[in-house]
Parts: sequence; structure tokens; C-alpha cells
Amino acid sequence: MFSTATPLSLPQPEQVWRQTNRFRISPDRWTAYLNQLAIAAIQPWLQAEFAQVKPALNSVAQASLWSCTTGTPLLINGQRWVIIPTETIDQDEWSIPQEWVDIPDWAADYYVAVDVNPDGGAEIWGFASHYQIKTLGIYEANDHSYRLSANHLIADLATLRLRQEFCPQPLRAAIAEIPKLTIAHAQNLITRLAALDSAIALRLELPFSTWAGLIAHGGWRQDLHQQRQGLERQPSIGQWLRQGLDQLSTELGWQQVDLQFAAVGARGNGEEPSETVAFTRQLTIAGQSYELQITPLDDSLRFELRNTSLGGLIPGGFRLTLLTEDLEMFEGNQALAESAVEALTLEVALENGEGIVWEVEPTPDAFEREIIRF
Amino acid sequence: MRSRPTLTDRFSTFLQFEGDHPQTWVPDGRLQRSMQRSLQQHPRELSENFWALFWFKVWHQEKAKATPSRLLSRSLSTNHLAAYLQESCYWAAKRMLTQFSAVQYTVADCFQGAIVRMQKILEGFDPNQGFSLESYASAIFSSTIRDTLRQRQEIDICSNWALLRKVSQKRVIEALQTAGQTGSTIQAYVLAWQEFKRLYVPAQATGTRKLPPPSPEIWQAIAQTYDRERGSLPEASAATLERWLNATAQAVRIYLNPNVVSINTPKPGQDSGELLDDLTDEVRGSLMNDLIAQEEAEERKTQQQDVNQVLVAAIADCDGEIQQILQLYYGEGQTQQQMATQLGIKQYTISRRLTRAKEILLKKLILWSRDTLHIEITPDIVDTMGTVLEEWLQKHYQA
Repeated sequence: MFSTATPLSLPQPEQVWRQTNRFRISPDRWTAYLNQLAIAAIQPWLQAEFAQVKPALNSVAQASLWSCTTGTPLLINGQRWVIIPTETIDQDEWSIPQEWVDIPDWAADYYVAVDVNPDGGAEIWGFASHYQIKTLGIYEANDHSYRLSANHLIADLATLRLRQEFCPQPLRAAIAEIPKLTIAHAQNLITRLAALDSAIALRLELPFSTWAGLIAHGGWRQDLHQQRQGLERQPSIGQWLRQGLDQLSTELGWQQVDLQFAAVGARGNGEEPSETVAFTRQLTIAGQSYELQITPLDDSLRFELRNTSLGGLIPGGFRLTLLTEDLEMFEGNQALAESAVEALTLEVALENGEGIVWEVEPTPDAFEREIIRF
Repeated sequence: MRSRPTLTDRFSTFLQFEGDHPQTWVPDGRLQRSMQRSLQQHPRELSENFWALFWFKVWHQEKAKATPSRLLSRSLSTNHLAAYLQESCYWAAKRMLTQFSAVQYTVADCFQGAIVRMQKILEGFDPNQGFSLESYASAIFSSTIRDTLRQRQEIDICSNWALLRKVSQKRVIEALQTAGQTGSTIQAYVLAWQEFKRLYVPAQATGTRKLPPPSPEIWQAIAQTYDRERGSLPEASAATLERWLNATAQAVRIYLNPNVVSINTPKPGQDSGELLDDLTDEVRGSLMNDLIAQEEAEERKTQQQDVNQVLVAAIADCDGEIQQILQLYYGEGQTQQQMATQLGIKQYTISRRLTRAKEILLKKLILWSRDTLHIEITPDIVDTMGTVLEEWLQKHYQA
């Protein structure tokens, strides 16, 4: 409604375009490109306005998300925001993909419409809360989106803050849980969807709740993304051992460490120690640096969380959790630090090909669930 | 442009353009008689504000009777108010054109495109918020004209294929309806357009306005997904889809051209049909009596002067940095980028200060409305106050 939207400066489009060349399907690449432009344009502005602005997802998880739908989640001063690029020149209504509104783990406090024109520049069109979109938006079954009339958009940050100060509304509206999928069902769907022609829009192929159940799971979404792009499914620990780490896992931050020297004499039973190699990944939790280490044993995996600073401990209250691939708990799947400890350790026996999902509380920065296969 | 001397003129004449220049005020006989009659009955009411409020209340009554908006736009009250708001609309057009330095568009174009939004203005206006109809209308005219100019600039340089990628589904449907298409034809065209928009993405970083026609492979993919989704809609080959999409682009181009919009929409006061006046004298008389009894108009006028004072004082209270930025932005019309260069600071610092400035002023306004006018602050009121404040700042600094 304001006669002046907030202008943003666009980064070098060519450079951003090159960064998206890993997307082999053109519409997915365009989605990734527009989102990266929008984020690059709004980031300096957000940093000038807010103390803390962090990506909510790592780059690998973000890429698989852009092949499902458009939008980028950020964490801003502890709140969740989703940035949605728009290209339309007529601004009567804003279309928000349903995934961002109705998937509980994806829903945000605020949504920002960023108008992006690679040839013309970018500006912030407006803001809306989850509550506004749910209560004032119109659901469009045709393309699984919510349409919010431009009259309901909050024009700028000044208005947004003053609305919260003088007539606070809840930021979130209630939404239903998404029914969980079984492993067999999910894997079936992934195979089926990945086999479809690349011209077909996957997000409209399934009933929304089934689709949501599939892609809300970071590991399944990654599998779908990989297969649809014609890439290998994410390799197992066995493959890591035989062929070394693949590119994707390296990008996620996984590194191989040699344990041989450390392990010599530790067992003293004369046998060659089976644990010669481990894989580690750095995690940032509440500003501190930690390391998750996975050590392959004969028929099990050992998960260990440590503080990476010298003599550093895991603070009390931290919890390491392992879940089945379909996110179910099992016996002995949690290690809780009652007080500060040196390490949190869990061992889990696995069948060949079986998947396991790890979680840490408090949640590490830019966390997304991944499936570790045995 | 000379302003209109008498009250009767101000509520019954319309601006006529000669080329791009406002030429004369053309009276509408029916509105003149209506205004003269009303003034004879209430000779003591000589404030413009009073009559603006009175006709607004009449309009509101008519709306409450659920008159269809098509008819409402031809009502006596809408036309009196349209006459009254001619000048605001003209100045908004003039100001936005200067801001956009859009030489290829005329003031007359912008004026026509905006004045047809009368119903939107009347629907959004609430006299209890402490602003005059004139300030509110002025803000809406400005933002309507700004949007129109933005759209037109883009449309003029876009190829058909680029244009189709940049319009919303809502516009596509409206454009097809305006072009005389109906029912399943619209559904088929919209589906074709959806598949096109999704599949035909630029293959390079820039040059999104000059997109060439899709390749045969893309047409094949569009035809394939169209066929998969079409249900009972007609079959279509790639060639047919290309024809449909060209027709859609043409319809959109015509529809988004404001000249055409203003031709298709009844123009207040220039309609050859009868003006509707379905409020009885009795109802109208009682509205008038209420207004007089409450001395409402008088009170509103004082409030509006107070709004001015509140804001002027609020600006005086701001520190030098903020005052400077307001002056450069609203007074000299500099962009954030220009201000950043001139002041030697980052654009985002400028942006933050502007946000801060607006927040300070808007907050004072909200507090004053709440504590002095006892207005209950709702999210909608905060939004409207923000819009009107923006307009107020532009006018204040350019005066």
C-alpha cells in the first residue's frame, strides 16, 4: 500500500547463475537462481535491521528444497522467516506455496515477498505472518498455494513492528500434523516420482499431505532430489569406506579421519582393530563448535558428540538422539548429558542398507535431517 | 490548473484534458443541481470537509443497502465525491510522473487510470481514523499510479513470452474475460499458460524481458503436460498451444493498458446514463441532521489540523540525522542509492534510518490517535495510518 517499497540492490546475476549449474532441470534451476538472488539482495538489508540473521538450512538441504518448491527459510533473532521471490509485475495478490504454511516444521513466523527482476533489480514488496496467511489468505487447490490479497500485506518493517506493539496478533495459526509415511511407502513414492518425465511438476502429483510427509523429511527429500537429477542415491557408510566420501557428503561437512594411530594398543587383544576409520562433521550449537563422529564397527555404528575446543565439554541438557529412517524412537536411542560431560555416545546395531537419522538438542545451526545408511 | 472557486463547482465539475494539459472544468448539470439544492437547504454549511463527509455518509448508506458496485459507481454520491477528488488525483498523477521521470506517459493517462479506482477508495476510507477523505484518496491515487507506471514500463519492453511469465493468474483470467472468452476456453488457456510459465524459464541470467519464442522441445513438453492435466478440456497440439498463448499475451497486453481500462470502466460524471439516487429525502435529511448535531465535520477538521501539528512536532523532535534523511528522501526525492553516495554511508544504513524515522512518526501518530481521539488501534488502522503518513510526508516536504 505504501507508495515506496523497500529497494534492494541485486548482486551480479551472472555469478549467481553460474552457482546454480548443478541443477539439471531448467525450472528447478530457475527457482534456485531467483531464490539466491532474493537472498543475496535481502541479506545486507536484514543484517542492518536485525542482530542475528542465519540460514535455516545448509546448502545441500536448501538445494533439494528448491527442486520441490520456491522459498528460503532464515532464522532472524530466533524467529523463523521465509523469503519468497516473486516475478509478477501486477501486485494484487501474493501466492505462497502451501508447503511453507502447512508443514509444521516448515511453517514460519513471518513471510517476506521479494520482487526480483534479474534485469531490473529487487525490492521488498511486503510481509505477512503465518497467522495472516492462514486467516486472510484463500487456499487455491489448483496449485496448492495460499493467495493473500495485497491489501493484507504489511508494507514495511516500521508498520510490522508497530502492529506487534499496539495490537499484537498471534504470529502462528494452528495447523494439523502431517501423517507419517512408512519407509516402504516413502521409498516407493521416491522411485515413482523420480521416474516421471522432468517436465512434470512433482509437487502437484500427490495429495498434499502425502507430498508433505515425504519432503518434510530431509533425508527422503534428498533421495528424491538426487534421483530426479539423475544422480546416485546418497551413498552408504560402506561406500564411504570403500570409495571415500562423495562430493555431497563433503559439502555437508563430512570428513574422514584415520583412527589407526589413536587405536593402537587400545584393544590389546591381538586382533587388528576393526575401527580404523571414522567420519566426522562439525556442528555449531549456540555459537560453540562441536563434532559428531561416526565410527563404523563390525555390525554397528558408534555415534559420538564432542566439544572441539581443547578440554571443552558437552554442556548439561544436551541430547544426542538416533531415530529409525521413518523417525521412530527405539530402545537406547538417546544419550542425555545430565551434567557437563566429555562426550555423548550411542551405539546402534544395523542391518545392511538400513538407515538411521541423528538429531542433537539444542538444534545445530542450519540443521536438516540426513539418513546415514549402513 | 486553476482551482474551483465555489463549493458547488468543487462537487460537480470534472477536469477535462486537452492533450496532456488540464484545460477546463466541465460541469455536470445533474450534480450541479443536486449540490445547489443541498446548499439551499443548508446554507450555513460552507466547509468543503463537511460536504465531503456528508456525501461519503450517503455513499455508505447506499452501500449498506447492498447496491451492486456497478450501480454504486453511478450513484449521485460517488459522482459528487469523484468530482471533489479530481484535484487530488491530478496532483498525484503529476507527482508520480515526475518521480518516475516517465516521459512517455501523460498526466491525462495516469489521471484516468487512477480516478476509476473511486470505489476502492470509498471502500477503504474510514472517517473515524482521523484522516480526511482527501488525504486517504491522495495516498491511494499515488500508489495506484505508481503500480500502473511500473507495470506499463515493464509491459512496453517485454516480448510476448516475457510478458506471459510476469503476470499473475488472476490477471490472465481477467484479461481473457475482458477479451470475451468464457468457461472452458478460459480454463484451457489458463492451463496452457500455467504449463508454459513453469516450463519455459530463461536459459540465462539476464535478458528476461526479451525472451525468444520457446524451442520445439519446450513446446513439446508443454503439450505433453497440458495433455496429462487437461481432463475434459480440449486436446491441443504444440501449434494450437502456441496460438492460444499468443492470444493470451495479446489479451493481457490490452488489458493491462490503462487507457483501455478507463474506457471499459464507467467514468464518474461522464456517463451518459442516469445517475442513481435511491436514498429518500428523509434518509438523506436524517444523515444531514446527525452530521450537524454532532458537529462532526467541524470536529474532524480540527482533528486533521491536529494530525498536522502532531507530525510537524514529531519531526522537530527527531535528531538531525533523521531530519536530514527525511528532507533528502521526501523533499528532494533522492533515491536511497543517491543519498548513500551523497552522505558517504551504506545504502542499508540509509534504509535503516528511513525505517526508524517512519517508525518514530507512525508511533507518535498511533499514540495520539489512541489517547486523544480514543481510536481503538487495530492492525488495519496501523496499515492505513502508515499509508497516509507516507503521503503526508511527500506533501509536507514538497510544499
